[in-house]
Amino acid sequence: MSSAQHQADSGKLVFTNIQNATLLEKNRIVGFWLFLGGECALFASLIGTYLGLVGQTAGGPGPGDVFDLFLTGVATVVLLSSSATALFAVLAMQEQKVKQMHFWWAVTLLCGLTFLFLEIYEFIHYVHLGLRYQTSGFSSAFYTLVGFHGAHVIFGLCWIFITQMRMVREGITRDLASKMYIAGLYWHFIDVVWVLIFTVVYLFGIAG
Amino acid sequence: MKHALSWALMIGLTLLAFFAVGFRWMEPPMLIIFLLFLAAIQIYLQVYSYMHLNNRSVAYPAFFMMSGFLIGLIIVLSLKELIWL
Repeated sequence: MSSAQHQADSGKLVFTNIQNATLLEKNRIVGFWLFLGGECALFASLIGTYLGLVGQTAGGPGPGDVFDLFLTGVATVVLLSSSATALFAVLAMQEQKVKQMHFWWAVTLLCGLTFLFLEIYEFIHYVHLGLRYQTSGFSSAFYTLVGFHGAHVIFGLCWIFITQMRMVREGITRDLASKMYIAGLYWHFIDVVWVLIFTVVYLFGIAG
Repeated sequence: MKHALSWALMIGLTLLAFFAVGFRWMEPPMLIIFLLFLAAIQIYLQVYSYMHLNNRSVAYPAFFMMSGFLIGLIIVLSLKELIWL
């Protein structure tokens, strides 16, 4: 890796990737991590509410009746792969490989869109099975939790796309590199949350 | 290369989790623990390998994220146990 480390004058090992070259960019990234810590609390509240209400089906369909293992599996593999391609894009950015970076971001966006369409299809399918938002405590908690995650995916897609368009115009500048890196972090975080959701909601729901 | 490997590992863990549920390798109490174990490995891989929370220059981010996870755990457990409907 060309980015990696070098010896500074003080003899201390320091990181000099393009996205944290100066204190401004470093602080942006530290601040974003603080935000992600807060996001943990948001999703924890939703997951906790879901776990509390999962048994309240009010005569409607329960988790075991509606969830489809195959569909969720495909969506999960797609989203996990998009997280990997986002990482490849950031690594390419650090090495100033513009074309490669745009290619990997495009793959990331494509995977994200696929995931989104699968999720929308899934929701429509559930409504046809009689699981509406107001059907039961379980359905409200489920749609709120998974819908919030879907909203994060939409936001992440827009964010990456806009930053990428700016990079097409301006190239890989120090200012944009830190923004792109942060968008990548956000995308990985969405993936972390999805790992929790597919385990706690879908797999627990089917396992009973 | 290292990252491609952790990607392959994550896909493998995901498939393992789905197969464990789909083919009923175990019964619930054991199965739940197994699934949580797999999820923990995946999250560790994501956070430390993909988000680079693994070197010493990221002490503050690591602190924020760990606080987030800890508070998140408390919130999940308390909500799950406190909702009595």
